[in-house]
Amino acid sequence: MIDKSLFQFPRIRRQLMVLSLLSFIQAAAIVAQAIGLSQALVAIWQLRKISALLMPMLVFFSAFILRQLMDVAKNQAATHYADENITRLRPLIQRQYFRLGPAYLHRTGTGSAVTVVIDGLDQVKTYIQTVLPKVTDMIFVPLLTLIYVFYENWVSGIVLFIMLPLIFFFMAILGLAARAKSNQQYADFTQLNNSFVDTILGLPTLKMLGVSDQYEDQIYSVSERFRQKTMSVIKVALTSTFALDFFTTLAIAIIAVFLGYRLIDGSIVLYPALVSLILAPEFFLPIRQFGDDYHATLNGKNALQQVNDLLATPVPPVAQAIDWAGWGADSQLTLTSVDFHYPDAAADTLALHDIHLQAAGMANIAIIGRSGSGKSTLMNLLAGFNQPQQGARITLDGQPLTSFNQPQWQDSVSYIPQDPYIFSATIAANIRFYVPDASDAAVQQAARQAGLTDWLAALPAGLDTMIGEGQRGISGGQAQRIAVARVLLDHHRRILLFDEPTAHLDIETEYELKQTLLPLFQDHLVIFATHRLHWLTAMDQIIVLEHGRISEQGTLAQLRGTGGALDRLVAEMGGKQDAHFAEN
Amino acid sequence: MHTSQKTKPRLRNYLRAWHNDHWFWPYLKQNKLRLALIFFVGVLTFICAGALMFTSGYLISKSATHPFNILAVYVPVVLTRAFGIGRPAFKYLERINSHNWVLNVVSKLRVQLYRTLAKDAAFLHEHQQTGKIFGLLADDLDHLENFYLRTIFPTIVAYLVWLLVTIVMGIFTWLGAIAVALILAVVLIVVPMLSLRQAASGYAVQKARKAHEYTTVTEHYLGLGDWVITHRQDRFTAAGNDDASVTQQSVAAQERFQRWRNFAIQVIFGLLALGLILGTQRLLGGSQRLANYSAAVVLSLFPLIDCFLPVAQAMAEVPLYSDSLAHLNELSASVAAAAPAPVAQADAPAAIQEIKFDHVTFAYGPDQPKLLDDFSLTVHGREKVAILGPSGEGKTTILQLLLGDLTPQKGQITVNGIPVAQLQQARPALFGYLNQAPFLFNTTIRANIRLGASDAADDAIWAALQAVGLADVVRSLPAGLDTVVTESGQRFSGGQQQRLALARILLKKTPVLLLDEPTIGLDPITEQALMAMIMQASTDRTLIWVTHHLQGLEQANQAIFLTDGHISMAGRPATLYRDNARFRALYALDVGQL
Repeated sequence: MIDKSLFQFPRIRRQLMVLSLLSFIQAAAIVAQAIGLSQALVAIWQLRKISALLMPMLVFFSAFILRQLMDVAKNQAATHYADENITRLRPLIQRQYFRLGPAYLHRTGTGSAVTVVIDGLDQVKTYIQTVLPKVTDMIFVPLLTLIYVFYENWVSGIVLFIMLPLIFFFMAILGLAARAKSNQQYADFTQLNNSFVDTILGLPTLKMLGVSDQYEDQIYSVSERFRQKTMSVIKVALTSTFALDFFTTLAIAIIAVFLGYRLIDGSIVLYPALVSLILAPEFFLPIRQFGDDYHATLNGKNALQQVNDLLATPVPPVAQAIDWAGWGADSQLTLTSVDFHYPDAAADTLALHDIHLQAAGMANIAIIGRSGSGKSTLMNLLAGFNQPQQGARITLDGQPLTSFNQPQWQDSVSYIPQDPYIFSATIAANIRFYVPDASDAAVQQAARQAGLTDWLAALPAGLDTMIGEGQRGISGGQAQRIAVARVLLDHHRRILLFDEPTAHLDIETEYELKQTLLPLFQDHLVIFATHRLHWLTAMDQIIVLEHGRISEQGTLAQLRGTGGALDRLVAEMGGKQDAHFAEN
Repeated sequence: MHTSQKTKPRLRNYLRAWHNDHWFWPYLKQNKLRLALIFFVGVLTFICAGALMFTSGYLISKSATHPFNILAVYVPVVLTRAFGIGRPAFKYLERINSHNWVLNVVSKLRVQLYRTLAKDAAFLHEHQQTGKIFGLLADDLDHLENFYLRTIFPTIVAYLVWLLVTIVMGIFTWLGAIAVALILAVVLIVVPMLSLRQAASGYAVQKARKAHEYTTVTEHYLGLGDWVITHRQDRFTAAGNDDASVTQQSVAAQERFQRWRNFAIQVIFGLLALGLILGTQRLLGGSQRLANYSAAVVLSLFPLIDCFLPVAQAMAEVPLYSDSLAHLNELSASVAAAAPAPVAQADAPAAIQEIKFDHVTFAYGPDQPKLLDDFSLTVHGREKVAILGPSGEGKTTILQLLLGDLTPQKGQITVNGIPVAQLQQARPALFGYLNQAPFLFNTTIRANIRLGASDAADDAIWAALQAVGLADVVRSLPAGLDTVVTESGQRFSGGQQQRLALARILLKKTPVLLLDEPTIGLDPITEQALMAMIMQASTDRTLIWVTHHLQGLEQANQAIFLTDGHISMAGRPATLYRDNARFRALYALDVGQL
């Protein structure tokens, strides 16, 4: 129930010592409280005066308060410790995502990564602060109460002691049965639950198809089936709570009856009997509480496991620094025998195989291929997000690189994907992303060059307009232009990596964006992955990818009309190269 | 406290959420007998718990007086056992029945949510991220479920026990009964109210900050590539940190309050115990016969703490539930308000002669930009019309207006001269509509496609799959048509999902097909093939499709380019190609002439 990885947390020993001490004091207070209460009750039973009650009542009440204070102290200590660890883990997780990079994030899904950081950590917090004090309570409270009961009345002590393993035994049996049963039903259960959400989400479609009325009855019948399934899962869980309750209350009843008989035959007196009876429920309390919270802590345990797994994922190494001033007109990049393999793919399937590529100066290189041919994988590799296999040879201006995950290379690169990253801020702040300290004039000029002028003129706040989530919505074309303005602002980034920048745009927007981009190509090394053929005429070199391999490479003039890979692709993609209408 | 001014109106807001409620009270009024049984058994659980300690205490006290024989304590012995078994048994019964009752209500609530949403077509379209909102509404139902189980039931049981304790004590000492009742009023009314007020102030802050943290972190993660190539690890790592720490502090303050609140409640019970000890000494300390009951009375107090303590925390959860309830009631209200005046419905026309937009103007609101401004268009039966234009320019709006989901401020839309408002009942038979994000249900391919025509035979389904070019893909799956489309259709690529949804519509054989960006995000090869299939499948139908590319335009009768709510370019594509240089340039770009 307690996750082993908790023992690796910083200062966990100290924390457990503190909690143990508090639990110990609390257990002592519980015993003292019982002693005071029993003495007071015995005094009443003995028909003594009120003055005889005062001392025991004082003992009872002070012990009672001390016990409650220990609860406060334990919770406070555990909560504080949990918060401390969350504060420690949060940046570690984010840093880990940073190091693992966008390619990793894309594979696991951004949504689930965000969930780990936000909801996952909440659950971990609840787990830590619940489980730690419960564990120390489970050790000390039963132990001390048992010792005292033994001391006063060994027979009651034995009854309690016998009940304990019995309870654990039944809990274990029922727990296993419950798990087996719920595993078996869990699939149905979630399917039925999801089916409701599914139907609600698909409601517009159902309505469109004119079948929404028929589904109303189905919702009810599916929900009722869901209820039956849930009830059978709940019954098992409740049965285990019932068993736990049953044995603890039964133990109290047995002790009471047993003590009664012993009192009648005179073998004991009232005080030890009463104190045993009062301590019996206290003896079982921590176990019952643990049972109640068991399901609540399960989520936290799983979340902690997820966090641990994430932090244990190996991070791609950062390539060594080189003596390099950045990309220039006479720079040279050579890739030889570059292979790439996705970590979760089968061992023998390479996503990129035997890539040879040369880029010099301000060349414009198109990478073209059908969906799934490896264009994006290659772009991710060039940006340093994917790491090549061993044996790849990369040279940048004569110096070897082990990968593109290299600070100086990345400082020279702009990476423009299909959906550029727009964060919630002003347009100006978005444009300043690469150069946070750029002057207003420079931002304005970049915006103008990127073709944002008309749009900005129509906005009352101009460059200071807030955009991004929950703000003013912007179109795909505008997002691309902001990304372009970012590039224009940073004169150091001479390498432009484009990954299908216009795939989602309508034809008119694409046409206009192209007019903006073409002048930019002149003084940059451009590597442009696309499946839109019209870009090819603007390129010096064309690389055709098929199944992760380069099948053809050369200028447009060299490749056209040879009946090779490019011609085949053009035939499939464009089809009617001679405008169909021309014949009309 | 300085927050009290802020929280007071919020408390009133909670009351407002309860007013005019359609989602909570009506169900408490149903199935009253079962509900009464649940409360009864819940009270019995605590009676047994108290009575167990009572009889045990009496049993050993009486035994300690050395009665002549065992029969003197026979009744308490039996009762002790009975209560010992009774407590867990009643608790079990209470839990089973309350879960069953609540889940039954959930079934009905689900139907109610479905029915409410189904009624309001406008709601479905006003919210762009409908999926997200629907998911949230489903969550709200889950919250209501917990509201019954964690707040309502324990609180009612505690109040009933409170009443019972007061009555029982009143039999022996009415002064004591009043005193205890008042002290318990602090625990059961005053403290829970303070608890609610404290929770309310924290809840608003936490909710806002959490939402902001979600947005910030998501944004940073989506833009990770840019952060990596600019090496700004520290800024990335700090994303959402300030929100998280504010939330953490707010939660910590709340938890601190809860700790000391529980402490205070316990102190009250400690004092109550002292009072009880003194009281029993005064009332029962006179004779041995009565004194035998003293331990019984005092000990029976302690199990009741378990009954009264949770009420304060239960109240602290009310803000969350109130919020959910408010969402659901707002939905009901907006649906009721948006319900259109009933219009006499016409029968579906047998064949389409003419679809006409007559000087139509539409904006979402008075301050919103006009998406369509004096827009007119006539489409004859069996014509193919393409609508082009930049995103956000009202292309989709044209389709929604034609469907009748949106109503124009000016102008009229008619089919064969009948206004679309009169064709709402006939609509499923008239229009096949493929929206931008078609929804696939998490069931088999067959069931998904059959939604179009529930009695379709497998042959017809295969024909439809053939028409959208998916027959081979489905045939290659081991389970064929019985393959389950995993949630939201994730088993299939975007283009394949689009085509499955299209197959569904083709099977329906409606005279009009309305397609919204059927090829967006597809590579040119797939796009090309899909457009060809669509053209073939719509041979005998009227087709209006919104598109961002010019693929398939060769076979269109009309192409319309929208800019700022106006038609900026329109005509037969062949004519446009011949006479319009801009169209020629766009066309050349699109087909990628090399």
